[in-house]
Amino acid sequence: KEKKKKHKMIFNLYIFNKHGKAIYYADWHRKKQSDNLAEEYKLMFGMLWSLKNFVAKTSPKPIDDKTGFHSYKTSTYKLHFYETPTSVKFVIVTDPNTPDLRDDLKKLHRDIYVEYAIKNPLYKLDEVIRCELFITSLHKFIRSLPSFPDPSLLTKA
Amino acid sequence: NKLPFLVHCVLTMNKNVNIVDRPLTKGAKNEVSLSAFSYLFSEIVQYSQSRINSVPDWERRLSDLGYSIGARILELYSLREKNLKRETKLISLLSFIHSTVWKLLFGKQADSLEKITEEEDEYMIGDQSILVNKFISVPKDFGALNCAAFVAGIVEGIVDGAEFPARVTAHFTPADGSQRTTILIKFKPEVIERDKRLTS
Repeated sequence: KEKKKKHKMIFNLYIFNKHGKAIYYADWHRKKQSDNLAEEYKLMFGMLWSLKNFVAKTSPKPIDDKTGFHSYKTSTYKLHFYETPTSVKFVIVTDPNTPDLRDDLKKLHRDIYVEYAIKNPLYKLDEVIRCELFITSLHKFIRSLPSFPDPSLLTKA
Repeated sequence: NKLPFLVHCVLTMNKNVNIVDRPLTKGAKNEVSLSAFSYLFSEIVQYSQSRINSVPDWERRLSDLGYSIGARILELYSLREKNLKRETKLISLLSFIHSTVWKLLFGKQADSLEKITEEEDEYMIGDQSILVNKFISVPKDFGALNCAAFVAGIVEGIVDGAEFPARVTAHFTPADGSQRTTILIKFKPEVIERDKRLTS
């Protein structure tokens, strides 16, 4: 009997600035499209904010960067969260079996967000990111992750 | 205008001694972190943006800032690299800029040095990925802005100081996929005249 192959998937990515505005969104294999993305951003941010506070309040130990909310998992997806010291929030949604992508989110912040958005004089801070270099290197980076599905596997219905 | 001096300080960074007191030939190997320079340059671009009304003005501002750096670079690098020997031929000046100046500023030589065949007074220095533009993506509404106008200014400062006056501008040229930056140097007619006489 063939063992059922576990499918790796990266569904989508959100980046929120410190005011809660979604400054970047991208999706790759999202099957259920949202009918109102703006609503979804607000919902997502609100949920993350509440969850972060809830986790901090119910924690038996004092909270710092490393012990706060990192990720949650459901039967259909896993959400990974990383917040920078400047309150920029990186959120990525993947299949439930993906290992923790927090380090990859840190890398995304350090090598792509800081380099191509912050160092770009033509990008206004806290605005939606439209910088070409940022977008191309972000997509390249996500596609290079081991958790990103192999395109050849996706052709099966 | 303190900004060019500040940029020059960053380019030839020192730690304890007042920069104008240090010996000129020492410390030629000092390097500045790319991040530090990128943030400074980013601020320069944004600072210029608040004072202009059009994209060509913006490029001219960046170019003017580069000009004063170019003038100093000519003196400094002539002293350090060539022991104050002056270039009298056009092609050797261009070669000096293409190899020595680029190497000292950006860590590598420029990718190409070409002469435009249709015009006798135009030369191009090409760079596949010019350092100052490394983290900059120009949105569509800024038109043809190329922040390498700063580098064009540096080159203009060098050629003017070497008595080969020219107009120098930076352009994007598409080249197998990505955008290549070209620094276009258009010399004044008397320069070409003089060079023809000297080299004939």
